[in-house]
Amino acid sequence: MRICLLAEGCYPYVVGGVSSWVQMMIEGFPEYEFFIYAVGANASDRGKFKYKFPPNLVGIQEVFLDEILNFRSTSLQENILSAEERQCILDLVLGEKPIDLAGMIKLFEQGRRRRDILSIFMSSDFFDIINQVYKARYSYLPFTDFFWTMRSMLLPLFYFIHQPLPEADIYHSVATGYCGIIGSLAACVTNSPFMITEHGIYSRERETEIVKCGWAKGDFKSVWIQYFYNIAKLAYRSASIVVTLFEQNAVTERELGCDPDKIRIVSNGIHVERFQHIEELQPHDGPLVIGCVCRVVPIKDILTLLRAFLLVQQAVPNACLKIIGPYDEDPEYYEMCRQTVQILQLRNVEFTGLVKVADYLPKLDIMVLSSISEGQPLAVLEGMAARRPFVVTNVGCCRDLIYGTGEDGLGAAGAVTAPMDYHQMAAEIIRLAKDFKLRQTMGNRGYQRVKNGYTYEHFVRAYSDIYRELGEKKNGRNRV
Amino acid sequence: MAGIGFELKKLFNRRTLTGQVIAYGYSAVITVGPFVLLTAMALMIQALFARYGTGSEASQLYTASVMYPVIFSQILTYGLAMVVTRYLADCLYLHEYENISASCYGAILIAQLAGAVVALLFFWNKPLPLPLKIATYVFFLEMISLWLQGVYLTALKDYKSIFSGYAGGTAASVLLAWGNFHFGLLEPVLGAMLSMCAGIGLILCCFMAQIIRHFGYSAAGMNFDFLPYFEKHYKLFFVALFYIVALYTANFIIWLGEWGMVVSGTYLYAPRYDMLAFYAFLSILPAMMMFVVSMELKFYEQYAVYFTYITQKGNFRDIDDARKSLLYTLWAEFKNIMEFQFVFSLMFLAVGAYWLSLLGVPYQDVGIYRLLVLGAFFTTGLQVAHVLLLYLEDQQGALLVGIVFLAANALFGTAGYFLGEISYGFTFFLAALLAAGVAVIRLQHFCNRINYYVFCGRPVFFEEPHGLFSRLANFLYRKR
Repeated sequence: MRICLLAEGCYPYVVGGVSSWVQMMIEGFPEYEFFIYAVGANASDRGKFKYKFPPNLVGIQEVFLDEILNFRSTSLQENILSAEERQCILDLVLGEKPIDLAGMIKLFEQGRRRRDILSIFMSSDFFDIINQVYKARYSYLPFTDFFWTMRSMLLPLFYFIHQPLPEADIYHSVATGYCGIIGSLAACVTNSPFMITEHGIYSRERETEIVKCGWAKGDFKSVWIQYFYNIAKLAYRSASIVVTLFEQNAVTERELGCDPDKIRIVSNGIHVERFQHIEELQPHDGPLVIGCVCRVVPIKDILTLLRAFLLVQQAVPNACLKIIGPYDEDPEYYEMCRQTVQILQLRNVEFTGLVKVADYLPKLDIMVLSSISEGQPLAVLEGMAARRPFVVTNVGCCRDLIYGTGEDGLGAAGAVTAPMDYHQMAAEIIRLAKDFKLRQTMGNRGYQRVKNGYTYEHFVRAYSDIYRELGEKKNGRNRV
Repeated sequence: MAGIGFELKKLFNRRTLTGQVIAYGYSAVITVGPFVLLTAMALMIQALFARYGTGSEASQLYTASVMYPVIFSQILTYGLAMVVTRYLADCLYLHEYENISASCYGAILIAQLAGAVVALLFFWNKPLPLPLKIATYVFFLEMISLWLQGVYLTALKDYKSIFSGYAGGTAASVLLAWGNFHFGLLEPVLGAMLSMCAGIGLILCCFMAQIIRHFGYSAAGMNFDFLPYFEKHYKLFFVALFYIVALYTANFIIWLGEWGMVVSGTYLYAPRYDMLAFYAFLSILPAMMMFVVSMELKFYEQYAVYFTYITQKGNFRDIDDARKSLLYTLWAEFKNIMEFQFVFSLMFLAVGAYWLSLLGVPYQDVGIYRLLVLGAFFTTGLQVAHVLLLYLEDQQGALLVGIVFLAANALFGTAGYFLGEISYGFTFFLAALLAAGVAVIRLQHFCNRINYYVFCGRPVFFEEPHGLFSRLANFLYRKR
């Protein structure tokens, strides 16, 4: 059986949680063939893989959004669409009805030859449709901006519809965004089952990003946000199974319109045995070492961590901070972090870059995660498997990881603070720093919790069932 | 008419009668001034031939020696001039003046090279004496320069100097020609041609000085910076070329017919028809003059408002209101000009026929003249619609109109060639009628969908020109 994993903005170009998850999936099922359909932003990343491909990864198709810019505009063409096609685009732009993928595919399949993507944009029909929607809904916005927003919004969608689809028995997307479109497309065209594993809630993440961003202004933000929700809806509708990592996400997905019967919860799992060699915390005379395993990017909110560390260092002068993870993804943010270290005159702060995490974990006394958004972070699971106590922000399911879901009766494996609240974060770190016994107990509880519910075996079994179920579905379909 | 608008607007804003009179005067100097003065120059010298009784052979040789360089220099430079106009308009809009004077040299150089080849091929096996050949060639190259300078002159403010230049040059050549006849210095035709060379040479020097005074002369200026415009706006080149060739096609075909005659074994022409066409086309000069004023003032104002709303975040209501008043102005001005032309055409029909009869022109020829006046009437409509299409950036439409005009002239003219003199005048009338009809229909079509054309006419992505001409320009100026 061949499974096509649809990855967007992660594997194999970026090292991080979702990418590791993808690698783990491939390695976890040596009996299946995997194919990667990777969506990236910049074509300059082509072929720059950060992961070593397992032998059962049979191929990769790379598609980059900036390659859209290489298309040459066609000349103006008037009245080229049929009434049906116009209606299809109108519904798409209005965004009230579910996106009609079959209609969109037909839009480009003109007999034997495919219609050029840009020819739609250059057609009078498209202009009339935009005009119609604008008059009905957005007549208070600047028209030129609206027109270009619509063009840039629909372009990637059309682009993906135009891309060839790799053959597979199951299409498995890591999010509901652009790769959700591709999965839906595959489900529509090939009749193979499509599933999603949603780590964070893609549309929500996009919303946060758009609200803050500079490229969409004013009311155009809501136009864009709505668009991403519509794409998510399309993916939810097309998917046979929607897997998420924890209960809270499942609730959100239901709110966003996903059929509750499709939702499964599969927690991340880690190879606990890889951390078996790490002992429980031992008292030592050296300086207190605080570690944070993450990529140096804004969503991890390293700045809050640095501020908290300033307060920690005032209480525990010899404390050290190690930020363990690659810093080349967002050089600007990394530079900002370095400057913050200087401005706050912090001592003993180290950015390790990309290293083998397991080697660093034994040296740490306390681990921190200061993210403003997370799903179910592998970094926390691994830290807990290494019997380290955690101070985490209350994002994703970090709270469940630290406090438990209430059934295991183990107690707290660390502390949870509000995102961006560096005072509270510092207070909790200092509380742990001053109490070795507490640290040790918490570290052990974390280990136990991971062992009970977040192991690799657990994870593989769950997906194995799902793949088998989908595989049978596919065969059933074929028999019909 | 790259820059005449600014100056005219100031005059009209004075809202006084003298201001308006001067404005029309300026427009006259720029649009029809050169034609009137050059014609006057040629006619006066021709009168000298008659007065000194040099015989009809010499007089005919003189007429042909003036006519050929004027017509063919115009055909040779018209396309280039259109592209350079576009370049100049962009430079003025961007306030980049450093390359303007240099580009004038560059354009003239390119046209001279082409002109030299044409002249060499034409004169190669002709039996004229060498000195006359050289004088005629010099006149030809001066006319080439003059047409191209004309593009730049429209952007100058000092219309008085331009007028003085023309008047001075004209006076100088007439005087010199008179002196030659009076003192019997040189052979009459050679003397007359040399006098014209001297006069035009004077005008050229005077204009070049004006251009340099106005735009400055930078030794580092790029002479061929406009070359990439041949890629972006290659259609403009053909639009202009087709139009000017079409205008003369009827004459060329008639030259080959039964009315054609050869002067001095060199020049083929049909004075009987050419004269009629010349008189008929005088009827459109007033309308052309008026068109420049109405276009640059009334039309341009609405045009600017419309595009300002589009580029400066207007909402659709604003854009559409501006569109309506733009179209209202456009058609109102169109109607005005055609009415104005109608009056002049009537006058030319009545007075011209009477005048020609007085001159002893046969009745049949007066009939041809009447058809040509009607043809000229439609030529005005054609030209107005044509220029408006170019103004609205419908290069495709303008090209279509140019092709129709040329093809119709070629087709009807060829048919006329076989039908003989009974068809003379009628072929051009038909072609002008047809082309004017196509131009108006296209303009109407474009105006109905102007929003679409403006919005979708831009390519979806900016495309840097990258063809042969850009590479040549890059090669020349890569160091800058």
